[in-house]
Amino acid sequence: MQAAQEQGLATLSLVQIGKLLQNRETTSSEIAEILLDRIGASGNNAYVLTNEQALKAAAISDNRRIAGSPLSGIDGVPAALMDNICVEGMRTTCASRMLEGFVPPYSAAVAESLEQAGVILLGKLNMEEFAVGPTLGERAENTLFATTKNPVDAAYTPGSSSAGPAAAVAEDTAYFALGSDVGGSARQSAAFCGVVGLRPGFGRVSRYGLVQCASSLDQISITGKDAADCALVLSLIAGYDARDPAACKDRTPDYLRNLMGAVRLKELRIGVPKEYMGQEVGEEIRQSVKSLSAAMQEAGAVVEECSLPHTDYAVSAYQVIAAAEFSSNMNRYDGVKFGYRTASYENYDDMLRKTRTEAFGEDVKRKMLFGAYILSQEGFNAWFKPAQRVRTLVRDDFQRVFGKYDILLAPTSPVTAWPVSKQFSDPAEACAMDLCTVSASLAGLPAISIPCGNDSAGLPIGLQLIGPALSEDLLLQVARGAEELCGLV
Amino acid sequence: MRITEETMRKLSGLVKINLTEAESSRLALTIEDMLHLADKLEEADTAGVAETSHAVQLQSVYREDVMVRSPSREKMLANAPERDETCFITPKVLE
Repeated sequence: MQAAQEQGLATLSLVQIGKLLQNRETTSSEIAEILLDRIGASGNNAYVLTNEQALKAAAISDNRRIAGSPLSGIDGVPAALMDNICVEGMRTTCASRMLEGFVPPYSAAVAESLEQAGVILLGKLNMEEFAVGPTLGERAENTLFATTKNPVDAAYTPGSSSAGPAAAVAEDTAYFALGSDVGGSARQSAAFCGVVGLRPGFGRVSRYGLVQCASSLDQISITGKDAADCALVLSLIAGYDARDPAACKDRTPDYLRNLMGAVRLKELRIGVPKEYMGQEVGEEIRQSVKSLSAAMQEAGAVVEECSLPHTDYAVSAYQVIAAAEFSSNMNRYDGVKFGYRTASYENYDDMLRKTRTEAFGEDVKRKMLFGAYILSQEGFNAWFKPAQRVRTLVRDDFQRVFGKYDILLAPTSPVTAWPVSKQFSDPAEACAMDLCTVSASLAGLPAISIPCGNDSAGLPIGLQLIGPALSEDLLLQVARGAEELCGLV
Repeated sequence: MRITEETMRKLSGLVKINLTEAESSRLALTIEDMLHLADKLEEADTAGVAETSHAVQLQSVYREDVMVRSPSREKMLANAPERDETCFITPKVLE
């Protein structure tokens, strides 16, 4: 009986558990203890570190509630951060030997926001080394921790670099998680694990304290159990921050309040890009998009096929730009200010070479080398500049379709999770997995993946909604409406 | 092959990573594959198209002229592999 009650508490959404805390029907200490027990019992390797201070923080939160002065509606709710988001005094490794012993001297802006809201940080979540993402025929792993398993079925991948947040939310060991989305990893991992993944638009959330991967593409992501949870978290972490030069000064709406109003699908114009529905997309996934399209039409929306003609080049442009920026960013790891330093060396150059050689995994090295080639004189003109021009074309494609449509509907991934034993033999095949997500990243647009049923193998299917720049409010409302149509809420 | 042994030597020098012969050969092949993927960009008609470096136009940011607290020197030095009381210590840079 008690186990069933504990299971019940763990599976609630963020909004639901927040209400129970507000009504004093549970305590932060109780739910933190339940989730910590579940983390200990889980074999999915979602967590790489648990916070020893979590129960103490939960007790303090409970005292605030007793005193009638909670910091927010979700004061005391346990959550987790991917291990590339800095928290002062808490080891942050990016799953790399390079940062194995790194303890940040400051917290990321989003970590500060959660702390100010009284959220209990349960720990840090697994990821691919430096969120490098797959560059070739195998999915990258990390040099420090065991690979994350998909809680839906351990025989299948939990997705790419943001596997930890998706697995933690799917296995009910966090009510929500923050991570990062560069080319779509948060959305893809969410799709593969059957949870919701939101990439806010570029500039909407401060990236101060997020370890940089590809600076013009990096964005903080939210993984949650439904769109309402993501809306609640976005309201907490969005807003201007002078410490992130890309942060926008637009007003931050109350996303959750606006979400709870009636979703007016009747007045919506929804485009379905035909380039995201080609032969490379699985039949069952295409069918899911068509089913949701039909349901939206029945609800009064106008749903039409549209075109983003430069999608075919987006994956190549993304790979070039991301590698170039990654290679540049990794130069900060010099064995001097922080991070690993080799034990013996003859001079500075020898120290630097041995330090990086010993501390970086092969996928990081490959991307650094590729990026260095792209940034060489030959590569810069041959690939980097064309990639940036294609980025303009991709952005213009979106601007054109958003002149006619409010929101775009597409698959999150062309496939559902593939077996962990699968090896990609062709780089084009591996990179094609990013087909549906990289364009929104290149254009800096908000996008969300929501689960919409399972395929015949029982694996979750993720559908993606993409909105114009800074349209998170509408995007979340439509996501909520889509969830209702999918029978999820 | 565009990525020759000589190219790999040059690249490993640029990113300051030592590669064994086997690693160099393996990585050269995969980088060649990545370039093949990047070649797709040649097919796009980009004549006269401006380059986009950021999806959102970045503007010069001036912060408010107020004092803010920075992490202490001790905290900033705490992660250094080698340090003294007030400085990071590096191996000699100039011979």
